Amino acid sequence: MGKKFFLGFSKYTALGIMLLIVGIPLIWIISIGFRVESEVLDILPTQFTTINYPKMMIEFNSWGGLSFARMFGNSFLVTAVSLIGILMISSLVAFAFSNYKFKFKEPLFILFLLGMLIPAQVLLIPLFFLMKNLNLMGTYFTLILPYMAFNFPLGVLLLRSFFEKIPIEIKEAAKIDGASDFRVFMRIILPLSRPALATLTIVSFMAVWNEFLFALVFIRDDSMQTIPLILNRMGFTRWGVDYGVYGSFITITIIPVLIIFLIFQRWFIAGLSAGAVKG
Amino acid sequence: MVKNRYFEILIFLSLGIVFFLVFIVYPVMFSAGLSFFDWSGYSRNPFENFIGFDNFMRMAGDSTFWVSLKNTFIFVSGLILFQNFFGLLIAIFLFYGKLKGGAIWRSVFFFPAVLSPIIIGLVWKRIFLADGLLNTIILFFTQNYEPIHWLGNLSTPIFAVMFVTIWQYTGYNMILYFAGLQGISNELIESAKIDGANWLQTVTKIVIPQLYKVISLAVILNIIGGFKVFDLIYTMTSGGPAHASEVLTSYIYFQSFSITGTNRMGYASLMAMVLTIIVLIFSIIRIRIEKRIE
Repeated sequence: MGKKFFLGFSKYTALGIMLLIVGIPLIWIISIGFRVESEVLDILPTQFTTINYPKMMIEFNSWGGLSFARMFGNSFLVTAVSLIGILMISSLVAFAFSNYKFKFKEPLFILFLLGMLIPAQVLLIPLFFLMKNLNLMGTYFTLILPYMAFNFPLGVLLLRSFFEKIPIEIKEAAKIDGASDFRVFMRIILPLSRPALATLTIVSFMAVWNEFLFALVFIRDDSMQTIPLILNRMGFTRWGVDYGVYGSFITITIIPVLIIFLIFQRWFIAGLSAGAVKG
Repeated sequence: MVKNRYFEILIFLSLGIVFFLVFIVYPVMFSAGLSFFDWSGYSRNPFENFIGFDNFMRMAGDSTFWVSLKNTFIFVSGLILFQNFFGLLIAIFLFYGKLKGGAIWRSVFFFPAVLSPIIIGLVWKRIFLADGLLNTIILFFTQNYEPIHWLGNLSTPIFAVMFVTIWQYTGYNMILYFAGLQGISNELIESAKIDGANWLQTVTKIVIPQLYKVISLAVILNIIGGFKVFDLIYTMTSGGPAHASEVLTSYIYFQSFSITGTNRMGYASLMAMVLTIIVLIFSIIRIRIEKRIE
């Protein structure tokens, strides 16, 4: 009994310490947004205030360079269009790999996967040149097209293995009824693959929503900035001036991610685990 | 269901191939070519000013390049070591610990990995200041200490950024290991216990060998992620002070697009190719090692 109690006690102490290390920075930043100016750097604040939130909304235009709604709109637009593209390209390609036999199939597959290894820095300068020559500078396509290209290979990897697990009998039955391959793909494969598509959506969402380097290089127009750009700009110019206001801003940008994470966490974990189990 | 119908296959593959050629293959070849040229990014034709191996010579003599290469390797080694150690430790703790709350803790530990590195960087940048939270906590335990600015000197910044990266992404490794632990049969663990093995022996002799595939995957993901790290460095130090915390990615950015940089696109391309080759070599080594084990 005594030993068991001690084991249980030390177990939860260890958990507590780990939670503190993970939690303190996050709790600290969120609490900053609710502090009065004189207490932002204290360990434990004594007063609670929500004044920073309206203050931030009023001041946002002047230091963000665009309206609050526009910033969220930019991030949503770029992310939504990129996700549609990623899902479309990777499911089509994965279907080709799972449904047909052709020459150079496996080498081509490995080539796609090698795409995931290439550091963005290699692609930045050439794509800058390309976007300029295609007259795409100043449009959202400078972000959307590369995001689609960089994130679909992971989708091919995830979806191919899922498509291959769908029993052949289901596809054969549809074929006997005279369905074309494309119809089989649209009507049978895709609806049956909802879990894998959900996983891919979530993993890609995080990659695109948080993407910073391409946005930093390609977005020259203040009104087109995405959330990471504003956060970065704030870090260089305003962070340190008024912590309360910026703490509240950071908290607001965390909220959508937190909501999506809470709703879809099992797909996150499923996606990562799928990779782990497959090796 | 397996057929040879090239027209249909091509239709399914076409979008992927086009995107891959235009946004991956073409840029890599462009970069490889540009390594032999001098281009500021402003003139219309990048391939005008051929300078042969001048960029290679510049790289060999550029002490900042070597510092950033060294930092990159320190950084990646640190990630491999600590993310896997702590990731495995927490996974084992959560899997075998039978804690109340179950899956919630897994989500809590994983959560920092889904946040933007820019946010994480901003928060920790403040914590590392001379009057920041870290020093406040240290001073709480000992008065015999002169607070330092962890990002403002020449030796600690790269380790500070490394620590933050480990802090943010250890949950990712933990999830991988947790999934791996679910695949180990309970009988194996039980029989080890019956044979009188203590928990440390069970972990090192039974659990870790069973996880080698997951460990190998986690290591390669850490290698790829580590070599590509940019956002956290950029937000926290921008490679400074005086290039002391520069890694390859941030130095490439400095040489190409940075406002305070030099606009040497050819030189930046060469370093980007070096970075790519390093990542490829490590990936091949990893595949080789895995084949040998099998």
